[in-house]
Amino acid sequence: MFREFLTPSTIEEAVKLRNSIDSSMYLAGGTEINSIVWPCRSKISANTAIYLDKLPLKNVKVEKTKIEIGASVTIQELVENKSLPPMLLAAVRLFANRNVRTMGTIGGNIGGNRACSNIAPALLALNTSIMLAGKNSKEKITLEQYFSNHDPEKLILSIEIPSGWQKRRWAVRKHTRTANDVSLVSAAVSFSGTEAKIEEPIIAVNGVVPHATRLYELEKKLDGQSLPSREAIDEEVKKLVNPESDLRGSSEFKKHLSAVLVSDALHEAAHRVVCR
Amino acid sequence: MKNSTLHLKLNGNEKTFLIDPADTLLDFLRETAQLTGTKEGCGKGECGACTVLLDGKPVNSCLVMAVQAEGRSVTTIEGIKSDKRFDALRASFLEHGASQCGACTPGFIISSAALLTDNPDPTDKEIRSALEGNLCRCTGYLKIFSAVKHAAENKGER
Amino acid sequence: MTKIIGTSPLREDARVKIDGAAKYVDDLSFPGMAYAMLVRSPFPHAKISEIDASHALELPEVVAVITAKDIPGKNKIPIVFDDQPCLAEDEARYIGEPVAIVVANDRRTAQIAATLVSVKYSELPAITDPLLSLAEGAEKVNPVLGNILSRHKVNKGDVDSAMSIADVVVEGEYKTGYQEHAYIETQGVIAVPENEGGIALYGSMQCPFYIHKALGYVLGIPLSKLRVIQTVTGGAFGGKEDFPSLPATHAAIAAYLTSRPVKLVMTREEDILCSTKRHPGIVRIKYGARRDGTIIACDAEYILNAGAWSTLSPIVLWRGTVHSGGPYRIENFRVDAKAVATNSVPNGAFRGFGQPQVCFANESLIDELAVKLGMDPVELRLRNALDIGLETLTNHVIKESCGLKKVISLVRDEVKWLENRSRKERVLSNGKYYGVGFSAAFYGTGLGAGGKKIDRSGAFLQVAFDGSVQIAVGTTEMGQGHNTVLSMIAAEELGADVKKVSMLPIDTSRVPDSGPTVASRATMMSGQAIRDAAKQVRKIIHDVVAKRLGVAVETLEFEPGVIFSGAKKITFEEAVTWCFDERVHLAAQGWFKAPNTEWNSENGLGDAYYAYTYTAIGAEVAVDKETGEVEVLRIVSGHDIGKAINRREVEGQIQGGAVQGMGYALYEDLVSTNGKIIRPNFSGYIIPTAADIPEIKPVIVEEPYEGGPFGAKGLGEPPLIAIAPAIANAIFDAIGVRIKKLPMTPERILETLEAVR
Repeated sequence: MFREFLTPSTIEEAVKLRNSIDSSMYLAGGTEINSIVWPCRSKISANTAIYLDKLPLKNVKVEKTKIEIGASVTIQELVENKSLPPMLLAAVRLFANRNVRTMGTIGGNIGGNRACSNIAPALLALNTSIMLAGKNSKEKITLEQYFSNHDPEKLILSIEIPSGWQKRRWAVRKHTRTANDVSLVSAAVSFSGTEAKIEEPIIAVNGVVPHATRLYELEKKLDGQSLPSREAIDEEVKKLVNPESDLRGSSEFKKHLSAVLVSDALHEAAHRVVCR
Repeated sequence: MKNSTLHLKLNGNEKTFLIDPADTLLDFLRETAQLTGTKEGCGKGECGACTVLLDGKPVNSCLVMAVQAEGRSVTTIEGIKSDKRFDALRASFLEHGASQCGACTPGFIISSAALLTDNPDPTDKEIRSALEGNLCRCTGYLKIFSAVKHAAENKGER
Repeated sequence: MTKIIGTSPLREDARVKIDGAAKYVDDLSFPGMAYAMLVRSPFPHAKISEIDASHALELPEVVAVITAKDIPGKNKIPIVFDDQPCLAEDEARYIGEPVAIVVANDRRTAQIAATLVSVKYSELPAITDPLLSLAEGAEKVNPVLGNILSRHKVNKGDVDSAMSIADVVVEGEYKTGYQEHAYIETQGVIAVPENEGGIALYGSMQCPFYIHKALGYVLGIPLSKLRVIQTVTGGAFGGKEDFPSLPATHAAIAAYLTSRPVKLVMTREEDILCSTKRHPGIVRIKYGARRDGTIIACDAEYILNAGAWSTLSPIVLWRGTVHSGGPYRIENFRVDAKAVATNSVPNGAFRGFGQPQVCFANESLIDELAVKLGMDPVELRLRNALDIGLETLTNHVIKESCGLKKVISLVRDEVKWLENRSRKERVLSNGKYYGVGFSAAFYGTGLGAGGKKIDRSGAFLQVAFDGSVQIAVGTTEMGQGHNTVLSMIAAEELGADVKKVSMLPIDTSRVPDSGPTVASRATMMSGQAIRDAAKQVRKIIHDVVAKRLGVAVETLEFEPGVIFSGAKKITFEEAVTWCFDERVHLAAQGWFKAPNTEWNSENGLGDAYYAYTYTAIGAEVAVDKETGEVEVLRIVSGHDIGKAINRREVEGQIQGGAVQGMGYALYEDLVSTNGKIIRPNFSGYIIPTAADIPEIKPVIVEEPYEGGPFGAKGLGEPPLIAIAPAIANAIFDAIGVRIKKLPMTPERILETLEAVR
């Protein structure tokens, strides 16, 4: 349960607070955090919230070579921003519901590093990198690196989507039981070229390993090739993922779903008209 | 312990309260501000019964700490009554039988009002998507959709 | 001709609900109010050797910690068999069983203090599978009743011989999961000590008189010192029938011992973990039929997982038992049904009450029979359907009000059965497979032979000086439109304007006991009791009017708000003024007893109920064979309800029930391992959302029932009952596999398709 709220106004101050107070957490929109720090259902013991609302992390900058999105931009703001890549828009629209999107931030969604984020694979498929502020330094790493070496002590400042997405084909997929259920498995793909010759594909999934990930081996196999049949893609994906069984689905089910979602997405992407 | 202050614009009025920093916005509204029209259905942001407007946008008040509302404007079901969209929604919810047990109803009204502000003439699909964070267990939703559609057509003229 | 019945006046109760001004229990507070939180068993079965509250009591804001030994009266909750304790004493028998009550000055302290009460448990072996509980030599789960909490049998004709001569025999085993009510307002009560030494209990509930009796048990004081006040109730669906007695007794004991008002409102997690649910069921069922489609025998076995205590399980089981073969005339019928104790949360009432489980089984199997016979499934249903002059499974000869064939035919047409069923192009443009399915059901309205002793209703009606009318009944509004419908009945019978009729808020010290608000009975039973009272008051008024107008009372006619005799005409309000001038008492007590039922409990034969509602459902689906996802495209839900008193509210019941039924069929999977419910919240337990809803077309058939008000029969439960089998049959039509377990989740469908191994 939070007993204390600190609202730093600079990044430096925020990082300093986080590193000097033992049971502290960064608080952005709060949709991930506020429901789990409650007494009696508490899985996390955090006394101090470092509330990021006053930090200058709320801008979206669309430039020729890149798009920079501040960590505190809400998911709903992304939904409503027509200058963003259509692939990202499709993924954020599929995320949760309006009430949650109003508070939830892109930084919080990434920082939560949860298997149920359907936004994460879309960002991977957009080649996104991430700006972080740690104890002593700032750094820019790929989102893939961030997810696989997740460090919740680092403050997410922004993400950067390089240009190039305009020329790529893409598709996103998400499996849930009802429309508002959290995602069990999600997938996103993008590539240049055509159905006859796929170039530089990115294939990302979430829900099948503890965090969102790219299927590099499949990407390598497809690069320069024509689009394989659904069955052939299914088989390849199943070789690459080994999800854990849990209450929402068995390993076999999730493996099957990830294969279906990836092959569906690749086939949809191949037939999508590149619009920009 | 109520040891911190909260300044906000609550239902149109600038106010200051003494609050417990561990309170959610929902706790604050129901217990400190005594505005019990906002309901708690799950306390975890999964049902939408506690929907209020924060700076004009719909949020689950159980997922917002009271402290996060500092300096912002909060509108609850008690405050939305002065809004002309409310009159149309109220008449339409009544006429269409869109409220049965009523525990979800204030949340639906707030979400619907937010939708109609952004989009005065929503399609059926837009109505459904705007309301997908609000659970109802009585009506089967269809009468709620008709009520919102009808209220949009009447544009607060009733 | 009725003037009000059959129209759709607005719901007066909805106004304050829409405004947010309606006071639900958690919106109320009383001076000096304390908060209670329960300490609950974390084990499915454990010995309790010591309860140490000292750490909790060290917190300055903690008022008291109460255990079983502090209970002033009996440590029992009265329902059917009185086996369940209010607080566990020596042993805890399910996860979540109440062990102690913590009372504190504020809610948060109560929550924290509950975690500080240290209970010494020694874990004992637990049985959570009903089949293991039935095994020979199994440990005794329920110390009072043993492991079979209740058993019912029906034995009609000679099932074995009939099966042996049947041309076609089909059989199957069907399983259904838990269903959680998921009312949006969780369980909650406030107990307030009264000056006279009693307790006033405010709360969210269906059956105030159940709670009244329970408070008398645990406090050991006369019922006349206790009153129960229903607060605006945010959904119930059966979940607030039997269960609220438990929190009500906890709060009442706490208030009684601390002399302070005590609020106890459950969190959603607590509610899902500890409140009653729909019983998981196992149904093995077999039909034998002649080549022409006549069903000649049905043999069934029905097992319910009841949980640790019996609650309403005996009656839930009974309702399921007598409906288990479906709405068909079948000469030879046998069923053996058991409610079995396990070390898991006790299950209880839920809309449908033991019928959705058997309906899923029998209506799925009817379709399998149709396949084997090479017959159209709707034709097969029509061939065997109940009708006037035919007898039900339990030999009840139907004498009136049977619209089953009519409702089946109308739903068949509305769902474009023949056209859709024979569609050549089954793959839709999105790659999904189209299917259409059908089901039928009957539902004995009211308590019937199983609850005969309490199937009566009382009403009190009085007219005020201004011509407004006040009615007191003990059945409750919980969202279903009870107050609107009963006001309409009163207005129609009395000749008053419906806007002038008000229902008195429920307080057991002020309203008559009208029996429980369950079994889709309130419109029928309280409706008839109100008519009884209204007729008496109308006669008083008409006598005065006839005298003053100087006409014979037989010449008087009336419509809502006016009384006339030929050209002479006065308003209802004027008539009331005349009555006050004449010093007559404009009030009456009404009473209604359900018709008698003849029942033989030896062979399970007789009139199980006095009337039945008949249902037919058509469902269209699109199934994704790759992901296992089922999209429901359209539901046609038809019901013969005798008379639709308020058409809009009837539609509301039909649509709401269909969506709950759809959730039961497809999404709602309460995962429990070793008696522990996992992820007790709405991201673990998934109910339908706004974006999942298909078109739901109500079809209303009105074959009047003489014994119901203006011909009406009950409707609350039927809309849920037959949804799941219609969807299962549609899935079969779409992809050719039969799913025999609810819910039919994507994973289960893929497993059955053998896409996932």
